[in-house]
Amino acid sequence: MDAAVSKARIARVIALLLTIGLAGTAASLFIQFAASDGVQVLDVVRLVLITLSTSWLAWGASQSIVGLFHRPQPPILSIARPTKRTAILVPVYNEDPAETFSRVLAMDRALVREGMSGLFDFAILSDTRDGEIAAMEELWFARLVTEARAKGRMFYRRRADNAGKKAGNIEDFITKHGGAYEFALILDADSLMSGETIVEMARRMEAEPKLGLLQTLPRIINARSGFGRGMQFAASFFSPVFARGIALLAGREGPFWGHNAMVRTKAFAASCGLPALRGQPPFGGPVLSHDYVEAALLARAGWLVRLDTDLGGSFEEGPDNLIEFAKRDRRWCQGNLQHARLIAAPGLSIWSRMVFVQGILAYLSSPIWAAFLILGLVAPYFAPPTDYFPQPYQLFPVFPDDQTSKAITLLVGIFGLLILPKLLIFIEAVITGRVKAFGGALRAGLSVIWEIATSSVLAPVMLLFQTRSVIQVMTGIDGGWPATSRGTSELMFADAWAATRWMVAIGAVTLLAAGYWAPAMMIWLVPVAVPMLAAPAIIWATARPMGGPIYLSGQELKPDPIVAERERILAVWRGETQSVIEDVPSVGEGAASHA
Amino acid sequence: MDSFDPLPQAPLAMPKQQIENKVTLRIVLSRFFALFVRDTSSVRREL
Repeated sequence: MDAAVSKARIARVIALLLTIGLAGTAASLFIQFAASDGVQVLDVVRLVLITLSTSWLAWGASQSIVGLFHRPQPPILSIARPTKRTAILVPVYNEDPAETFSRVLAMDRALVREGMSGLFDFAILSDTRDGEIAAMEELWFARLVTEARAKGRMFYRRRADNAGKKAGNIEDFITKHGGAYEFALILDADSLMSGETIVEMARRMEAEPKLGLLQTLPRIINARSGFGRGMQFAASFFSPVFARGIALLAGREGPFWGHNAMVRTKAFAASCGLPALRGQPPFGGPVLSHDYVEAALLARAGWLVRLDTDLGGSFEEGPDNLIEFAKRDRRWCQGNLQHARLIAAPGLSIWSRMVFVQGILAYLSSPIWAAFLILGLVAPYFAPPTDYFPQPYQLFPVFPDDQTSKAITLLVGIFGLLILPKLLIFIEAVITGRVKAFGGALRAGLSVIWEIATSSVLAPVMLLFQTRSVIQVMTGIDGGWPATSRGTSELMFADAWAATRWMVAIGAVTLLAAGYWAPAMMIWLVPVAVPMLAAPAIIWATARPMGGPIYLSGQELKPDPIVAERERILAVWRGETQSVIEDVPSVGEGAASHA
Repeated sequence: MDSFDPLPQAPLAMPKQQIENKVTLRIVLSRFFALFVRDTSSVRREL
């Protein structure tokens, strides 16, 4: 048996036992707490909900614990340099072309320095619907090709319609041009990768003929706000350990996250043609979270899908405020819930099915928590009156045991499941010296504490956003989002208020109702309801620029050369933007050619 | 784009895959319901 497969099986058993043990402990504590006044139907429902919730948390914690003990080594390969051709695919959709194309130029220059640019073509695959932006794309592309001296190895095409969205965009390239390339590096518009990493990926793909897809772990860069830098820090500090856990558990059936990954074009073409699902959206229609499905289909066809966490030099950018994050999360929610239609697809591996279940639970866990909290509020009204004389002819009353300590233990345990992995990762970073890249142990420690504090405050807000998303998807209703102010990169308070006033109302009603009917519950509800009440202020405050020693990451202290190169290119381009725009005869002419 | 180099034409077939559940929740529920109804009706007949 393949060593990776046997390691994965052992790791899965360990992670599963850890999950069962932790969730079982939580369930047992809850039974003791809830059964003190007799077991009611509501208690059974709450037991199911708490077991599901803690299982989900425990599974996440188990992945990080497994990752702490896994030290992947670069594979030993028989070839020194790749010899086959790779297409670097850059799908764009209404993005700022200067932003995107400056990344392309930086990557191309890096490949030139590696002496490998002759093997790598760039294909900018535009799905842009805005005519003015499309005209700017053509203008900036002409400049890109000139500056890179890349005529014949940089291509731009714009689709007349964007059928199938990003998956359709990639499919369109593969079916028309894929045969010209052995490999395709799939990027996002905000992806940036070092030349060394791109070449190394092609080398690994060429040296391992059964490798169908190679995923890297992208680090978030260029965050400015408190929220964005928190995500950037987490992606840089915590994610590598979680990713090692995922890589180990997945074995030969690794993940595909949609970008910063290389595929074998023939394998992808033969295995990953996605049909539209029967019926109407949200559960029918085009497959939205296509990357998970494509990874499962490659594995089904016998191809190795792997996440190589030893590869650095892979970057992306992230949302800089919670509203943008929640909007993206809403799309992912619909995509993941749609996977319920695919769990029992023929021929998939158990792990691929498990990945679909995990993706669904990632969103269902929020309404499950919400239901647990609501039932906790109403449970006292359905509880039987305390019976002080349970035995006939009993002389002295029997007072029920105080179960508060068990409730507190359960609460601490659940919170522990959330923060334990982060604390363990911090200890690992101190022991291995990884904290140096984050400003030393003190700064990294402060950043970890601040990240735990802010993510705890934001958790109830995300819980409500995700619960609403799940309800919207299940009912087929799309509540939409209020338009955000344009012309400014910062989130205005009015925008935060418009997006969360419903949440403020829920927080206020919850506290008022608890104060009136169940004052004893107030103390438990404050950590959940107060962040809801303060949601607009929290979202606005965390969207503001944030400097200082907190959240220092390696990329801020010492940017990767490719990141610095791209910044230089963009600064030059931005400095000249005005004169370039003045050279454009008329915005919109270029777009007309696509009509 | 006429003014830019066209991508090399090299088609690859991308056949649509079978990805949907063969056994759906609706089928499971309808079979369960059918079984349940049949069973209870037989019980009712016996009663």
